[in-house]
Amino acid sequence: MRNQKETTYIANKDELCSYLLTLPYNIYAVTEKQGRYVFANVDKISDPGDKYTPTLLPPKKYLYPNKETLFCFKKTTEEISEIEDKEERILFGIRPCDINAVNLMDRIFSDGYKDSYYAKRRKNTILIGVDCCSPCDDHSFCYSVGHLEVKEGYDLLLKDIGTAYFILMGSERGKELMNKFTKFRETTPQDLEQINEIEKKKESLFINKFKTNVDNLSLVFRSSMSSPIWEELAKRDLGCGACNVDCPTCYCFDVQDRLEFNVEDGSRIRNWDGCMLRDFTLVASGEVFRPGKADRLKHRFNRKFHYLMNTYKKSHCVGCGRCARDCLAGISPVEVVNSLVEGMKVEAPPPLPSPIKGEGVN
Amino acid sequence: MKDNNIFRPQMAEIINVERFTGLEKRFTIKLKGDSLRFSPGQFVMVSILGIGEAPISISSSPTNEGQFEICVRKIGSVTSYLHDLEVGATLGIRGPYGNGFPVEEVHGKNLVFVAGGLGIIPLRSFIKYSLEKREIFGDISILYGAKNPEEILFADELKEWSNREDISLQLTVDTPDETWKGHIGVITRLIYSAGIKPDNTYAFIVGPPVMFKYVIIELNAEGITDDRMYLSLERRMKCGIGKCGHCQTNNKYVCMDGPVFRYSQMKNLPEAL
Repeated sequence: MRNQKETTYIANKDELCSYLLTLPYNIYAVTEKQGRYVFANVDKISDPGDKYTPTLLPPKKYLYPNKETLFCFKKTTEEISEIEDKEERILFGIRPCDINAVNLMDRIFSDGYKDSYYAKRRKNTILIGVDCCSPCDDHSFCYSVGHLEVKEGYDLLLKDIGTAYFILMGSERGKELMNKFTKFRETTPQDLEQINEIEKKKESLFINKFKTNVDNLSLVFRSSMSSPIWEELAKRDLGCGACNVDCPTCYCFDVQDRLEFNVEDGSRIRNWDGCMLRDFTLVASGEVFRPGKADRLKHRFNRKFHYLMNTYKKSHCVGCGRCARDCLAGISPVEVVNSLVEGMKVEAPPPLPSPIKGEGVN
Repeated sequence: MKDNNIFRPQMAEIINVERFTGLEKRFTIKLKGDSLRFSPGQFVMVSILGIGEAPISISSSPTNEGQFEICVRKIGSVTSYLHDLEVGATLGIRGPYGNGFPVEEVHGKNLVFVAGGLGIIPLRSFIKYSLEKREIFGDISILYGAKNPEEILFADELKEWSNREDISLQLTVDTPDETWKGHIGVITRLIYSAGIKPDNTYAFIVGPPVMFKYVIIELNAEGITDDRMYLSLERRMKCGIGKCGHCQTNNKYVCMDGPVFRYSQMKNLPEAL
């Protein structure tokens, strides 16, 4: 039954999902929520189908959560204690763009001073990806930034072939995870043909939406520092910082102390922060170093496509399209890049997207 | 995890407090069970548990091992709380962080220190060091401008320095009082009359952003080239270790790549000045 195990693995979707649920991990899977998708703690994994859009919040919420306790303290004794996250978890259904984002965050949090909080959560988190066969919607542009393909970072990568998954093992941990799974079936010529067909079809479905090549992006942004387009965009920009929150590679944070009502027990926490917010560069004297929305927009885009791209030789925007999908002003990296490339004025804003009904995002 | 929590401060004790002006106090601090090894121009993250953390420049000479000084204006929540602390009180320290001034590179060179307002605080660490090791440096000029005579920091020390014959010290204030006998006006006026030698001279400039621009022009006019000017920047820092993003200035982190920048490099950072 498990011959050819070293090369190809195929498992029935339901059987694989049921097996994962028997493992001693908390499972967070892509789940539908009011027409959109979120990662949520589940006791049943349901196949979200091929074309699910990236989750409202990226998987960074598990590796680098908002409101992370850095340590607890007692005010009078000045005793400091640390909380260690011990949860072992599986993220199921993470898309290639988001896995690539995790790879970028791995570098950020381990370069220089190593962030033990991120490292611990990363170590405790198994990533099971599901490959994309076709673009999830019009907002995404993963291919344009070189993040459609994922080569590392995942433990398992599943390719959807109807009722079954074709499984790629990305790590020793991924292999161990599947050790006790007995229901692999042999790959048939039809399976291989189907996979080839999917891969071939992808080539025509994913197109470069940028009017330039990804390798030129850093140059485009470097030469657009004084472009009038930033001021044009700033007229529409609401300065709300939603793009910072829902970006899988935005990692800036604020640090705050909290005291309990007894004024004795407290904790130091870090919260997600956003460079699109005015107070981000405020210093004690009252000076703000990026006072205008145009300055802040330019900074955020340069970080993704220029500064970090020069350091790490990869676009720090993975093309998930979350910022564009949820931007009330309709600002999209595709539009920004193309406007800069053309050196033309930005077109009139598109109509506002319909808001999500019901409760807040997960 | 305990050993490598980069956010955990070391506890330290305040061993001396001195009021300078209405707004600034000097604190002498000793780490509990350790000593802080730093170079001039570096900073520490000062922590008050329950209030928060703030980046503060070290103002003492690195040769004074076992203790260090910070000089703090009461302006935000951490600094206000700090001002209420007395000798014997505990606070948290992380660091030292940042690159500091290129002390070794300028051995044997002439030094010009240009301080505006609180800029004297980080510069004092280097000034003190250069006076202690006087023989390894060439000419030393100190130019210091403050808003008014009451805001002049380290006044006693300045008096001492002004009596030394092996350095030149000039002070100026924007708004004098009846007793003020020194220069009046912006600091750039001092540069013109300081007799700065164009060759072999390095300038170290710390002050408010508006000051930098004009000081650079004047120093250029005196023959100090951009690669022989060093500036220290102030930015909001939440971590001090190149993660939180707040101090980022174009592609540089002020906390890691700075706070001291060579002006010829800083010119490529439009967000710096």
